[in-house]
Amino acid sequence: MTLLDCREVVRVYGGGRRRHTALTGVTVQAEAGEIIGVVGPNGAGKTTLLRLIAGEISLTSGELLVADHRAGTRAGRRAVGFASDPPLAPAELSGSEWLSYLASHRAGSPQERARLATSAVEFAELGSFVGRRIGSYSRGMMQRLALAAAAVNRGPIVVLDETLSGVDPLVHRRLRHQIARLASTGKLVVIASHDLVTVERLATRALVLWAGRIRADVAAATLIAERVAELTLTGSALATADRAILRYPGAVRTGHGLAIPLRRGLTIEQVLADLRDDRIPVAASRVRYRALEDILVQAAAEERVA
Amino acid sequence: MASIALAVKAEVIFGAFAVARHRTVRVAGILAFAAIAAWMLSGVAHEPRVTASTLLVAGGSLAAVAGSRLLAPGAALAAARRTGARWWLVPVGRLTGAVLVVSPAVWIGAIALGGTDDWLAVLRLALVGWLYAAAVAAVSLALAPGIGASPAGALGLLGVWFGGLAPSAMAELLAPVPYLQRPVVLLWNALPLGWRAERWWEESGWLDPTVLAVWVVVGVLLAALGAERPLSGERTTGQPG
Repeated sequence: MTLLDCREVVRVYGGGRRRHTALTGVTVQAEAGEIIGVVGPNGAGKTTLLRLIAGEISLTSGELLVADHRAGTRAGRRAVGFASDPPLAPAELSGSEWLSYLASHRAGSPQERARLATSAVEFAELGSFVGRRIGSYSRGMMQRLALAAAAVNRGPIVVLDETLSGVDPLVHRRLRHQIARLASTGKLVVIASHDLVTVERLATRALVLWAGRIRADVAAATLIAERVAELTLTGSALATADRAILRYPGAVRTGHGLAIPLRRGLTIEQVLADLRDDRIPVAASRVRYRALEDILVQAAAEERVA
Repeated sequence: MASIALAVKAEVIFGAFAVARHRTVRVAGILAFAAIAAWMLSGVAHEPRVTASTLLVAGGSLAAVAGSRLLAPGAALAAARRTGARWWLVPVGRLTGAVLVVSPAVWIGAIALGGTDDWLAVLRLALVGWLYAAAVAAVSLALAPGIGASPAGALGLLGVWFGGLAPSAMAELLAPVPYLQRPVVLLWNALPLGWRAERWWEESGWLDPTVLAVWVVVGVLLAALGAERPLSGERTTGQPG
């Protein structure tokens, strides 16, 4: 069942000299049970895309349907649980008052409201601080409250903007499990993050946004199927690495050497032999799965060439 | 199926908490009580006109600040949009909550200023103060989503402080600038200002309370429109100040 249907979505902020196109021609569909990771550099349009899905801002052009409702309409907003970045919750209320408030708009009886609020507290592990005034929360606590607030919404779509950043590693691990459980109940989860490892672990599919466009739409299974030779170069070898980049399609520089996709039968032995022939010394080498970071680095390299 | 009664109750409580727990409103409340106390101690408080205008300025100031917090851009406005509630539910519920918080101040002020000799007069004074406070709160509630909480509260306060001047006094004041005189006097007649509440208290009649009540409805309608409108900025603001 298609829960998200974006067609040629454009969003422009401001006008005249301050006009800025945040998203252009974004087309994407997503099904129930998927976890879509949205990644990209700052200003790529991740937050704009999420706010459009949540109905916080309106489209400039295009069409965006959430659970068969136009985004931004009352029905569309009710279909989406949204945890924004920065998290927005009234500082005057306590965490439990805030969740109870949100649950009141979804429940049919006081008992159901209490059940919804309690399950949200358990979902995001807020037990130790939920009674405190929100104004006194740390960033990590605010993120967990935002996640709980998004989960209180009974709609089929949950949108999370950098929700796991600032959360301690142990809670982070358990919350990843909870988010995966949400998807297993048939909800669509859309999560934007700069933490690529989290997205790789959690998402079933990743959208790479760059300058307001979708540069790649990759299934997690595809990432796992591809291999990359990662080479560590030192000293003068780093200066001669450009020759190797030109030889292998998709090869990019990394912080300490090269990453070369192993495609069309290319093996790491072949790469090492080629570099030996070119008198480029390799300090260390390993083969790993292709990572989202490779796609981002490649997009940056292509952007520079363009 | 969501229950409307539960949602309305949640909005009333939200409105009451947003007002009662916000530092700006607490400061406004303290100032309002200080003004009432000062007038009482000055010995002129029991002159009828001073009594009414003191209560209207104190209650109106509190209501202007309270109303501006209810749909403040940031968490309060985002919460209103995320609930996906019926258009009328959020402004009506939150305004009710705010008026519930402001009401005791108005009633205590009316009793303190009106004395205990004539309970009927005190009741009438409280009713005038209460409806005026509701109209002022509704207007600043309506302004907040569009222009922000602080400007909305400031405009409300200006209206409360200078609104005691009657339209005829305004006309006289603006006589040297005729191109301003006509629109300002028209506006002065239309807005829910203190002179109208004072006139209602002095002369009774239906026109003045009707105008104030119409402004409560207009405020709710405009606030509903403001809350439903998608945001335009690149980022939502953080916690309200």
